[in-house]
Amino acid sequence: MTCPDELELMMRADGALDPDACATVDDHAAACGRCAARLEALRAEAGALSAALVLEEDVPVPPLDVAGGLPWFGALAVAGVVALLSLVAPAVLGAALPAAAGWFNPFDAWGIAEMAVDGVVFLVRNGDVIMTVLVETALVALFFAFAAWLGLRFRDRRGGPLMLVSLLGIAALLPSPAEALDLRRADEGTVLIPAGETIADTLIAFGETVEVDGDVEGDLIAFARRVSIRGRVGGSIVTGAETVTIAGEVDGTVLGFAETLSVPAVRIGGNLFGFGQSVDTSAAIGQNALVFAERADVGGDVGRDVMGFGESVEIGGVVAGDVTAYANRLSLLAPARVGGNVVANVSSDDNVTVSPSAVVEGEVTTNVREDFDDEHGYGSGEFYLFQLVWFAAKFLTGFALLALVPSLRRVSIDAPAQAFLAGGVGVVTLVAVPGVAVLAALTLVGLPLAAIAVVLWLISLYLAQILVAYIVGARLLRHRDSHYTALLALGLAVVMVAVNLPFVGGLISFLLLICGLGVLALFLWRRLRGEDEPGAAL
Amino acid sequence: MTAGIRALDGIGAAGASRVDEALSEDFAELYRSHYRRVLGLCLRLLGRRAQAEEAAQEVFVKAYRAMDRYDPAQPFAAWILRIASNHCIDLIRRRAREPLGFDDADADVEAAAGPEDGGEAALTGAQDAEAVRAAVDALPERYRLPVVLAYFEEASYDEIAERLGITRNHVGVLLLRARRALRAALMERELESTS
Repeated sequence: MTCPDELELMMRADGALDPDACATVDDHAAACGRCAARLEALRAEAGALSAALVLEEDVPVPPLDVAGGLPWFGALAVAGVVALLSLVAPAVLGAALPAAAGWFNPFDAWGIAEMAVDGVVFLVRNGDVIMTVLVETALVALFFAFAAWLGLRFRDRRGGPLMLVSLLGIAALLPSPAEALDLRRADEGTVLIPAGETIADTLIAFGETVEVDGDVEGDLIAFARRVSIRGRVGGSIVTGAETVTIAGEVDGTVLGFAETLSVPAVRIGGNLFGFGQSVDTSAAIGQNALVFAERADVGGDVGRDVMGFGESVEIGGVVAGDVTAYANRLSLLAPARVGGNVVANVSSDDNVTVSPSAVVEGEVTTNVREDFDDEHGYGSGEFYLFQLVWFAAKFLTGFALLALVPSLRRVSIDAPAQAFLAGGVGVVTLVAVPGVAVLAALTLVGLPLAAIAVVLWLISLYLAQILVAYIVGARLLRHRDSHYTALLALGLAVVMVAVNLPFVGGLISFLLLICGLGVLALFLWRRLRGEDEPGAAL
Repeated sequence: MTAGIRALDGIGAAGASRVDEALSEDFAELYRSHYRRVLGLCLRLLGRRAQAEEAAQEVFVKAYRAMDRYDPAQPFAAWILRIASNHCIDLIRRRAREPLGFDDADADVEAAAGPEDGGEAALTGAQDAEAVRAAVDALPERYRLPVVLAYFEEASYDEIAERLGITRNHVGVLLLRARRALRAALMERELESTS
């Protein structure tokens, strides 16, 4: 008889043959020394495999956490506790909250809802222009997110040519087909467009410092530590930096994220959307000014409305439309002249200052918000009390989130490329959701949908930072068998310190926000596609 | 045991607290004595530590809820390991972008020649269990799964076939290919370390 093949011998050694086949092999092995030895070797190999696979290290046995899979009534109980706390907490803590943070109070659902409604109304009234800028920004961000995704996907393969073709394809889809893109970057140094030089296209610049003294005929997109624009820009400006100075003339709209955003520009043809710690403009703004800053100073003339959020809002020029402020204090300084109404949502009647020579043609309405308080500072006890409230609120929310969606506990960011991807997706989500909401709000049917989308978007903004804090905590304590609440608490503490750092805190906060938003968006996206990859890094 | 555990059902509703101490003593004891084996199985199947720890927890939560279906005549280890491997296979199936590829028709093993020495010594002679584990971890999923099920969980070919949805013979073919790949990897490692 011929010798059995290796498969048969192995199955015999593993005890997986039918009795008949088994007997045949055994009979053969009894007569064939080689097969008998082979059978023995295969048995020994299986034994060695079993022995090697046993977990040798002495792992600690963590406590069994049955809460991980709480049944629905457990989830209801958690929700009940959170709801109860949110009812009790404002009464207990309301008076202690510092001024500018009042509308950011996570317990003040009414304040947030009111702000959301005002925001939606504002967006609907001025939607068309914002829309264009948002869509263009979203497309550019999408382009970079897509490039990052491709990079991730083809990092280990020879996907270069395919990647290039895809990028070119996407580039062809970008708006303003008549214009080309001029991409300049200098990681360490300065991207300088000297005076006298004219860029006929859209300019995208990254670097330590970006200085544009020459003219840009298309849009200008600049991200750097310091951005300074003194030349004329024919299109719109989208920029993010620690310090942004825009001193040239801008025909389009300015969308700026910065710690200090200073716009002593001669003229802005479109809108100004400024987000930062301090936003200061003396430019003549053709349309609206929407400023979101601790200190917002709108000194120039504004063609339509002004909307300001922050600790202090100052108006110094001629505003053709309305002025709406959510702030601790609102001041209308000497040459100010408001064509429409002034609505001040402030902490007390005394905090609205109208200079005797300032004129308001419409009505001045002051809404005093009870949860607003007087001055606060980093040195005061209230600041720390606020941080405590901030921490408790985020911790409770995070706890509920992670308890109700256990698979979120497994989300992680393992590589810089993933952080970039998350950031890219986050930026897209940040701008695309209100963009789509505006589009929907323009149709009457879409209005409630838009409102729901904006509310969900606000909730996501709140959850994003919590999620990213949890990821930070998990990263710091990896493999140490910690309960997710411990990781959450650690992460929140680290984030709380980081976002309160002088100078860089605002930027860190923004980066964490977009990162968390991206993680959340990707998580939901994968969930919707049914790819539940537990433990998946992004 | 099951009555004791049922009595604890109310605890889940009381809030998301750890209930280790309140778990039925019997189950807690089973948990403590089998946790490492279950974690080991999850780790070998899933590959990543954090994921495996999470999965091991989920396996015990599942087992805790299914205790009324447990037949005490069976060994608990076999039962919990079966839950664990099924849970991990589910996770792997869900995370795989493409089907795992167990369904390919070419179940014939190539080079089924006579019983010359196939290099089993590479595995039996390997002093370093860590090297064997690393080689197993490096196997493609379609080979790693049957290897871990057969030699860690010690499931029979028929059980593996049922869980992976393939025939018993196909299990044998996958295991043989996997063992050949392991031998080759370990021999290569051996050569590298000597040269």
